[in-house]
Amino acid sequence: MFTKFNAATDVSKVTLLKKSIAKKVSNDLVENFPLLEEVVEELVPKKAELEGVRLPDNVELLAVDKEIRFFRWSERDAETGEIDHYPYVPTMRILLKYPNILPRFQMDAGAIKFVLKNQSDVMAPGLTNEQAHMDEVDENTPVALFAHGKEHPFGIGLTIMSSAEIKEKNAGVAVKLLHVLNDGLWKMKGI
Amino acid sequence: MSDSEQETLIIKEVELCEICGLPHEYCDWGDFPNECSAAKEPEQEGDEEGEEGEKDAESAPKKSSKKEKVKMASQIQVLRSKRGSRKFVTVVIGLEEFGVDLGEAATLFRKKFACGASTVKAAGGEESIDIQGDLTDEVIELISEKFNIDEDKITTAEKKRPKKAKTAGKAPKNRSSRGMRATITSGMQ
Ligand SMILES: [Zn+2]
Repeated sequence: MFTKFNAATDVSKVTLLKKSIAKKVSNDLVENFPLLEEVVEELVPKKAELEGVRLPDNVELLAVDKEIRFFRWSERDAETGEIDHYPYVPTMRILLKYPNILPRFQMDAGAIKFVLKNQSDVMAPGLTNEQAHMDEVDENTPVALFAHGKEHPFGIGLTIMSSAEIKEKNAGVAVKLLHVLNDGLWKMKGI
Repeated sequence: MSDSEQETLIIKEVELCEICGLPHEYCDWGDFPNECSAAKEPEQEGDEEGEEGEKDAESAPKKSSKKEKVKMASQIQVLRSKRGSRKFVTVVIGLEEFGVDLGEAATLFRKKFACGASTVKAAGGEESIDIQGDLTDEVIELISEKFNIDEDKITTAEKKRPKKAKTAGKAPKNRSSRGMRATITSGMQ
């Protein structure tokens, strides 16, 4: 999602959001990531200055007091033509600090270079072998990408299939890569 | 506060590489892998206490990791861990001290219990096996039978995590075995 993104040239618009948005954002975050409950007031303080940052491809970032903490995107549903808004997902900097807020998808060590260096999506076999582990999730779930032998997560992806289906099919793209260490979003520290 | 949510938020301060900006263990995939590894070689430490494990993971093993090994020798822990609303995980720690190959053991668990089992390496070098499902008793039985290990060498504990564990000392044990060395702090940096 942020492979080619360059903060210096690709930010099209920064909008100051109403204070009242903080409450809604906090509620949504806790609903989607329940473990964030005890720190949500630090992440999105009620009095903070919230800004929405528009990027290409219908991606939007949420900055809290100039620090980018969440991103979301919208897609046009191919069948109905309606625009689907995805909820806010924490950035890698937030995930490193709170590593268990998303379900854990651990791949074998060999898969790191494909995902981290080439920024490829995650293929099913990388998640089903002996070194791998998947928390049970449905499709369309944001997950934290870990690798065997590494302590910290290195990416965030969106499941294309449920974890059960990934095991069963064991082929094809299992997780679409959203955000990874060292991509354009990682390098954009603030606004 | 529902009873079904047992998992506790883990909070970490991750040290980022001064050269490439990534967590140290990912320097190889950063923009300056050569510079990073050159800078790491002569590094002396001493400013931290709790984070030795992290250091050990990225550079050559140091004395401290050996010490740790001795400390946890000749004890196997089989822990039941609840992962949020998503089922249980059985965690086996210390099997390698009995000369058991963890990869082979994981394969054995997978076959025997027809479930997911994988080895998980923590930063300090300790490795554990995570088995999907609540299989504590079965695992203990299988271990003692298959590898000829006395059952009294195997300890077990229910890993119910209090929802609000506020101190680092209370960080669940099985978490640290997976490298989740939690530093509980407040506030963003
Ligand atoms: Zn580096």
